Amino acid sequence: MSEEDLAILTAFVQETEDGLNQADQILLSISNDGGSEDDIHALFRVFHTIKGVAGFLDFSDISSLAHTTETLLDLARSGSLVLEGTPLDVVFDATAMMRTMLGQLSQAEAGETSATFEVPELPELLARILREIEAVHSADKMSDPSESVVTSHAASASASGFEEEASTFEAGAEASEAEVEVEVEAEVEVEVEVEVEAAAAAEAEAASVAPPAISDPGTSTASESKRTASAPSGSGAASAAPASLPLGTTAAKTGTKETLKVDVERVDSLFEIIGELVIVESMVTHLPELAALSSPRVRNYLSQLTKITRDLQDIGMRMRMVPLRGLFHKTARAARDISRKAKKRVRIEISGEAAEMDRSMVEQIGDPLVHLIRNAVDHGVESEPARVQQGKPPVATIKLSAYHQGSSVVIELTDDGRGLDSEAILKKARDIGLVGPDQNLPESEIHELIFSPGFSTAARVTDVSGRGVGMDVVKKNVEAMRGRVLVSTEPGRGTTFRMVLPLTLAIIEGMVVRCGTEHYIIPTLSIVESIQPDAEAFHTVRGSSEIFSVRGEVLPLIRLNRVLGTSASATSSADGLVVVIESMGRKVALMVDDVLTQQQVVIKSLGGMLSEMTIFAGAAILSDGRVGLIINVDELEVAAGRGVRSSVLALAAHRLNAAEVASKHQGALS
Amino acid sequence: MSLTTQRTSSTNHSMNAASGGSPSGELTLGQRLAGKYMAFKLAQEEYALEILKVREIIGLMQITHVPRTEPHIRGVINLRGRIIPVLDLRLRFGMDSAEPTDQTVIIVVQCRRGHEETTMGLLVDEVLEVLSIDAEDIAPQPTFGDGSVDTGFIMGIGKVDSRVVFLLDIDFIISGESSATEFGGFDGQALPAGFITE
Repeated sequence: MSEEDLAILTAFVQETEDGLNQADQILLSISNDGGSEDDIHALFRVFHTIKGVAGFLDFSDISSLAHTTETLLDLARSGSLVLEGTPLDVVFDATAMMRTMLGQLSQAEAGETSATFEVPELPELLARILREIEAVHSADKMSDPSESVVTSHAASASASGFEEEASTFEAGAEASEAEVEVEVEAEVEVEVEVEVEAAAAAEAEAASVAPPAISDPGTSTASESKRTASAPSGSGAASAAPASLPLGTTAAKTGTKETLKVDVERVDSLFEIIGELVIVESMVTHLPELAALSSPRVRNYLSQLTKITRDLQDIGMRMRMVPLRGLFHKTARAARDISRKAKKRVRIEISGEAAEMDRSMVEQIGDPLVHLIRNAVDHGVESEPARVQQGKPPVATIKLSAYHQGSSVVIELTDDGRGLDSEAILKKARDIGLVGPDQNLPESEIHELIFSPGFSTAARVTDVSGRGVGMDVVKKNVEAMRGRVLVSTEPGRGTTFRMVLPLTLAIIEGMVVRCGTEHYIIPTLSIVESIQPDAEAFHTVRGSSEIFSVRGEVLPLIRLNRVLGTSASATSSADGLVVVIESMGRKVALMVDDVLTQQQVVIKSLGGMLSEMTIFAGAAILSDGRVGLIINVDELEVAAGRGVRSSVLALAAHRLNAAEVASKHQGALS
Repeated sequence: MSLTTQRTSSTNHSMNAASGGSPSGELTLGQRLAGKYMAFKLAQEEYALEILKVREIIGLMQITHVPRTEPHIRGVINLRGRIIPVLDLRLRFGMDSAEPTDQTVIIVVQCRRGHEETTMGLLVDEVLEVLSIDAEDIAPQPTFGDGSVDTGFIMGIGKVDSRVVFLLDIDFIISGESSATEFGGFDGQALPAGFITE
């Protein structure tokens, strides 16, 4: 296949994927709240475009599927079919089928083009769609003829009256169409975005973009205007207003964006160079020679340099950011498929999908998110009769939202299902020996247990989940991105999973600590607090393991210099500082010589032969130009050789805590 | 530190192993290895790296020690914003480590490790010159009868005037199972100088 063909093919795959994503999004909103006429129009247009291009490229399977679906949607457009239940399902299946074919197509991209696909289900699906179409036709024939006459009469009557408004509607529709087109482009890759607000601009765009999209035969235009005219709202102006709203939920306010496709590699190398600039900038501004100068001009220029560098860093970061929209809609789509398999009715509510995250992270977070959704639908949500019995609405609601919190992005998944069953979890944990037989854990710790490998309380293994693999993988994946998973639950009311993720993979906020002569970086995200310790806070267990108590909480103590095997430092207990870090849901006290400063660092790989070192997550260049190693907090305990023992220790600590709490209670009571 | 002296070897001592071109037309060791080398000093010995693998030579700079690594890994440096590991070749070859002098440099090389290209620094005592070594001046690596010494990291031995230069296989040094004991038994003096008879 020639390069040109390949380029066309790639473009086709990409565009069609975008189209299908849009279709899914619309289908979901239709299945949630019935959808508007515009939704059906947009849906129709998606399939129409796919049909056209696939036909042109001679992919007959895709184009015939698109064509058949289009025919079905046409019925929905003309109002003779309500898009719900089975018809809606077949359209969903059609998008899924097209995805499969696209997948095969992009795999074949490397080799020969083949216009045939391995989709044995295709004829069956086509037959199902045709059956739906047939059903409508036969229903039409049976319906009262007089009624249809009345409708058409009314339509033609109002059509003449509202001709002018109808054309307004058309313009609006065109504008919205153009916006959709541009939106779709925008989602393809990380781009430099230029906002062109105002509807006027959108309409100008429409002139250039719309023609290919509105290649419908004249009849469809006519029917469109007729429908507007006969719309129950009556006033053409009123119906024109909503029509000019783009189809997405939030796209309305963002206006048209002009985007530029840039090779990801180039963006990455720009980002890398910005990273270097940041380092040099901070080296220059921290030069003692310059600090000695009292010239206000020098200081002025330096602070300008700092500001520009920060701005540049910001822009660079934002270039790598993509909105979560695509991911959320994909997840919602997955949720729908899962809920149908599980035979539960679930409503997905999405919010905050405009929140942005590093592109590579959005890719990585997809699997964990789908897993959480699967769990929510399969385990979290009760069966319909059970819900009704408890006085809950029969249709379950799963909320998927995202928001910024400080320098983190939080992705939150809430279901209104049964919540976590602490007793069942504890029982299971005792059965498999995670928890001692007469040991009691606080609620939050019990909930943490679901993240243990091989843990599942599901009574039976279903097609979608229950095998006990998963939550630990979710946690691992999220932690690999230096994020955390938090769970909170209310029995009978539902469960919320929060994934707290850094904005980007490349830059972290770090605490620079000193150990001996070297400086190390601890990610601030894992630091709970740092303490100037008293000598009484240190205890020794069985002569070897040290523990550290802080406000009644007993933590295993790790001395950084011992873990790292570096020369003895001034770590007699009273000097030095204790940094309390949280790793794998547990707190550990880390003894360092000094805590120096907190700064943003650009993470670099240790590279080559050192990349296998697990105790360091990488390295970063500090403001004095030296290299600081970033400590992988999760590996510290293992490296300290107390991974196993410390769990015993932690149990001991729990008991101590419990005893303390109990004694406090007694004190309060007496 | 600059690479100024470029000298072409003018020696024409014929060496048994290298000069006998095989009749089958295959390349001999000498023909394969002939070319330009960057020579440097470790203890009293002279070694050389293929010039194409050498990226640059930098003066000694602050090396951040990486704990829990083998001793011959000196640590990492900041090479204009890139972080690269630095290997102490003396320790790598089982010699004693030496106090740095103002001759001590880091040779930055680009080499293969498994399937990936990687950049790293080699700490050496002193950099000498760029040598051009002809095919007939290259002898195969020495083998020690009892097999106690692994010489896999030596591709061949070059002769320049009356000097003997060990031609190093840098990829092997970096990707070979890196335990200093593997090459054990070497100390600076015991390296097979004088192994070749002229």
